[in-house]
Amino acid sequence: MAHLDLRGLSKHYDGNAVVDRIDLAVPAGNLVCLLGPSGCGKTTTLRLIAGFVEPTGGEIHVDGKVLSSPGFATPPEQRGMSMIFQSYALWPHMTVADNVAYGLTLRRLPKADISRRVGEMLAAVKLGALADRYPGELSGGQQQRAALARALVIEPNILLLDEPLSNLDAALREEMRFEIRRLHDAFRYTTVYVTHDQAEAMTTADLIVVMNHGRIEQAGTAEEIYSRPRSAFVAGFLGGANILKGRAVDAIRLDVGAAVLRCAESAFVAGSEASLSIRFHEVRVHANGGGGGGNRLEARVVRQTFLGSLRDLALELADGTVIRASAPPDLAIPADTRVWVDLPTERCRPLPS
Amino acid sequence: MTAETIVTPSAARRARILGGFDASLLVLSAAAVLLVLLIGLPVGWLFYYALTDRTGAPTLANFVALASDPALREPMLTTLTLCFCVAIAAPAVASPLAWLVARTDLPARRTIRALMTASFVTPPFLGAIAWEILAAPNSGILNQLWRGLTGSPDPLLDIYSLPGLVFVISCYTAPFAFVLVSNALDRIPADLEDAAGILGAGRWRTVLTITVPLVVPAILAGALIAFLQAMTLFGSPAILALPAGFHTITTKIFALFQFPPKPQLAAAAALPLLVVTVVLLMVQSRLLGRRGYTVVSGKSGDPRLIRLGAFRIPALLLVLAILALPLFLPYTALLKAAISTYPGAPFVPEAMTLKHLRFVFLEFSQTQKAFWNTVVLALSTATLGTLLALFISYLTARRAIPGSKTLEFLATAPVAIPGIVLGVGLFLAYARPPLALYGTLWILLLAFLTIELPAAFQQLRSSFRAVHPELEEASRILGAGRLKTLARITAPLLKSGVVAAWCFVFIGVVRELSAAIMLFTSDTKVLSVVIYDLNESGDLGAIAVLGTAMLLITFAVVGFANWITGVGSGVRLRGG
Amino acid sequence: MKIRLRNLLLGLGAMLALAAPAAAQPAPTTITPALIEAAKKEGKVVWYTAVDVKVAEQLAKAFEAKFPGVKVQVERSGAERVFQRIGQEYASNIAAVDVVDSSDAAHFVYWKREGWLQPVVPEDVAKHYAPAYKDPGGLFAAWRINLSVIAYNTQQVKPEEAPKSFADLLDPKWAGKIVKAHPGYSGTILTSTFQISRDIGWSFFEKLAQQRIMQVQSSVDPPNKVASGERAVMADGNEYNVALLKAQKAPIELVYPAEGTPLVIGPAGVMKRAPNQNAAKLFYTWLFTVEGQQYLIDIGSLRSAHPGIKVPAGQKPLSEIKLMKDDAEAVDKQAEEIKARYTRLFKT
Repeated sequence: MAHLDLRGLSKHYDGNAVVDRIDLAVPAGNLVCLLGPSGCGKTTTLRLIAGFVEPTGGEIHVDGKVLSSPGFATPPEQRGMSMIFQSYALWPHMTVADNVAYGLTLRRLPKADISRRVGEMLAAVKLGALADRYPGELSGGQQQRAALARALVIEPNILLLDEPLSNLDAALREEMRFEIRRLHDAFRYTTVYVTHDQAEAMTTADLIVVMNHGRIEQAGTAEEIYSRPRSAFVAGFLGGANILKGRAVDAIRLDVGAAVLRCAESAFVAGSEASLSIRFHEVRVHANGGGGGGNRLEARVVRQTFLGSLRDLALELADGTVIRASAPPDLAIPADTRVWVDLPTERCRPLPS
Repeated sequence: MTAETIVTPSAARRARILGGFDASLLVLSAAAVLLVLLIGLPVGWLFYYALTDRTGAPTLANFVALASDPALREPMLTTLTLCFCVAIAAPAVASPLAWLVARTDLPARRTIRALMTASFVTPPFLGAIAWEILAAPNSGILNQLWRGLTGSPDPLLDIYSLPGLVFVISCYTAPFAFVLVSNALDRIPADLEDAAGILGAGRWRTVLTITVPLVVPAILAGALIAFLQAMTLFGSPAILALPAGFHTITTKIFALFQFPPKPQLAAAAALPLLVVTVVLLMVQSRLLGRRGYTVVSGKSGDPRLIRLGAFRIPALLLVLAILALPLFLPYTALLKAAISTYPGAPFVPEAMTLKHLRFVFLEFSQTQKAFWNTVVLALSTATLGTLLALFISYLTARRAIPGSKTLEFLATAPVAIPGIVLGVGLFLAYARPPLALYGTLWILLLAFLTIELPAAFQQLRSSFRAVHPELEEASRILGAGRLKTLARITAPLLKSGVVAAWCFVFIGVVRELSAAIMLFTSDTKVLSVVIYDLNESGDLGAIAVLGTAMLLITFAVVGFANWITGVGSGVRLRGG
Repeated sequence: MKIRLRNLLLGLGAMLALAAPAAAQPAPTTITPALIEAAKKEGKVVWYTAVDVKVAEQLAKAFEAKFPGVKVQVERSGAERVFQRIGQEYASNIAAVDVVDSSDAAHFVYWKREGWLQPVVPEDVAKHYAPAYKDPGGLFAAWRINLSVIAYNTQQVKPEEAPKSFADLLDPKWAGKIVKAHPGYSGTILTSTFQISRDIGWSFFEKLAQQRIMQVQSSVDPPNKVASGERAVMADGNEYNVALLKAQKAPIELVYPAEGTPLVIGPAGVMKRAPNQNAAKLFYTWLFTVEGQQYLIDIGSLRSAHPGIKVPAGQKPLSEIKLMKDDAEAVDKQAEEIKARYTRLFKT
């Protein structure tokens, strides 16, 4: 278990910053998810940590020791890490057992130890029966487990996972999320996990780091990031939210065109451009105008879609802005109906720009 | 309009069902008949001749003679020795070279790849002749230098020997192994090597435990091709082994066809080549076994290049030294011979002449016809062969019709037929009515088509596999028929593969000698045969001029083909 | 065995035919404007030849210059190759060759027997050639005379140390230093092998085979190999190529062996099924004119059976050389055996 520290880490390709001055501390034994859309720099960050790529700027420290800095990088093989690749990178010319034993053989363990630990690890990932198969003879999920076993068996300081589940089908992906979390709870390696799937991140991570354009947008627990997004990007990327743009009237009120909306906390600077976010399921829809307070607006239903557990509504505000709302499934409102929309002040999160 | 759109689909569907059924049956049988004509008939005649005596009565006497007559048995043992040595030597040199080019920061890697391709274009018989000039024990330029430097009375190299023959054949089979191994290295996802790195394996350890085992199939394939080349080449042993007083199986088969011809014995001597080839192909597929060498795809960066550090320049020098063997040295020797008054003349102005150039281009009445025949045959074989291979690989890659497995086998089968054996077979099959093709270019076309089909087929089959069927399905669902899809979607995607196959066949035809030597007549002589003829009377100057011209034409045509189709970046080869 | 017996019988028949009085000697062919016109209509003549390709092509060019509009297509290979090719082509019903020559006179015995030749007697042959140099039936005539000689590289061997006889070649000091051509390829060598084995005996070749010789194919090639210094001595090969190389100042000198020099008479003839009948006759007739023969001597350093030819300076007249005797019929009978025996001894 090791403490990982990225300080001002940057990587430029042809002058473009793919990773741009990242600062991140991962406490020992934590599982950190780098979450973001493709091209956000998360995989490059991971490869920087692994030592496959040399940084253009900044440093990588593990337990206080510098492993990477511009012009210097401890080669991957001396970092005591292990990694799971998107492609699994199982060696097709070795059996599952040989694949798993590889790292142990490199560490010159006695033969008996190796075979015992390989056996235990394969049992832990439920592949004991398939030890003598070649990777080409395994299903996708089995290959995934084999890759996990190979990475875990060497008891790495730091475990790196690069979109490990993206080649699996939906059901398997969900199962493997919990499996990875279960294994992490069992072994508690410091882990950096790269994904673009928010559900994956929320299931597995102790700490989620949302990245965009090579920079960290926000880092925090799943709950923090979900309930307190600090930018429109984070709010939109995690869980879906309406972003309403406008001009601040004062510290807590924002004129979004259709109405002046009030937030629960003060964050705006009067007169400046700003926006606020409110999640789809936090928007309340009423067929008639009774009751309520705070931010109440009139709207027109543009489209309504029944999704089983909820009903997805698209609502047009007075100025033409369309927002989305998740309403209870029994609230059947035909299109073109006029309705009242409630945006509770405590749910309207100010996003100062 | 509306009525039409209602009627048309069902009519079209009906037509497709009927037509599709008829067409696929027709297509399959046409392709099968063609392949049987190309392969089955000559091989059938071979077996017939091998198993009969002069009167046509069945006998095993030919095989008894083969086993008991030392004049027949010894060439076979020599050939086996030769094959094993080349099969080891060629990949042993080519694989490290491929690795240096594909995986390290060696300078001028692209140039080195291109030069290896150039050495592939060199016909092995021309290389053998050039090496005579270089390393004949007494007059060879290198041996003269050696004697001059050391004062030693003994030659450094004797090219007229079995080791000499192994060396020269290895020089010109190594490019096959090089292409196979470097392509395999290019295809290894970088992840596989990175995975070993992160688990603690150093660069060299990763090379040894991951990279090398992953290219073992390619190395084996390279060894196999080297073995087959060594077994089936005719020109190099005829040029280098006969002066040393020994035969290989191909020169023996050729000798058996000289007057008085003994086609029965020749056929019997050819069959072991066929059997060995088939067995080797089977062993190869058995060796690779169940290890699936396909790798799950994922996004995977460029492989990390190994820094050679202080070894960068020494490694480059080593590579250049290796390239000197098939390329720099032979071509220097040929150019020197082209302007020397007589073989071995000192390299001084008085001993320089343009007479060989004058002879080849102004006096020699074969030049024009041989160039014409060669170019016509190479162009038509390349075009027809590519079309045929395209057709068969489409049928097999898309399993468009039942029985495509059989087609695949038939299209690959000629790999197992050495050129000289095919030449014998085709001569036996087509030298008499009703199909008296001997004496026409057609019989050479048939021979070259058959010989080159497997390479073109393999190239195009892998190109087809790289084009996902969904790309075609997307076109068909939008309303394009099978042929239209083939023309509009598949063909453009296959373009580079098609051009590569075409060039491969073109080069293959130009450098082909072993079948041509059995099948030519005065009107159907090709360049390789003319050069071989000239060699028998030792006209090295004329050979040097003709050989150089032949190479220039090959490069021009290949370059033009790449340029006109916009493929560029030279030939990319996939050994077959 | 069966074949050999048949050959023997046919050979005997051929000898009887040759011995029969030449009743059917056709009228001599002269080069007339009508013949030239007819030849021009055909446009080309296909000449299968065994003479050095450079000599053949220069001769062809001289002919083309004299008779514009008639191209000569030269198909050069070793005489035994040419013989095999014609056999293979005729067996497949391909008649491509018009005029043929060979350094193995036995081939004309064979072709005559097969009835493949047609009688054409050039005027010069009729008038000037001795009977020994022409077929009584007019089917062929001695187009060229060649000797197979010994030669050595003057930079590697001093004249006094050079071999003077075939027997000298068996000296151990020449082991690994001798080059020789192949009777399976070259008619000259087949003929000389026959004559040496007849006059000296096969034991000579049995011992020569122990000398680690370098085996080349054409009798054109040993002089090349000696001139380039690849081997110090040649056991056989064309006298004329040695002369041509000497003229180019190559370090080579020839020796007429003490036991006698193999004499190789190279006839030429016109095929009955020649596709270009008139061009064939024109070319064939021209080959035997003083002009044609003189070219052969001047360009090729060969020897002629035409008495009107000027022998070039430096060429030793045949009368001053001890020669072995030519015997085409015997070669015809023994060719297969000679080749087989040679192959057994020399392994190729």
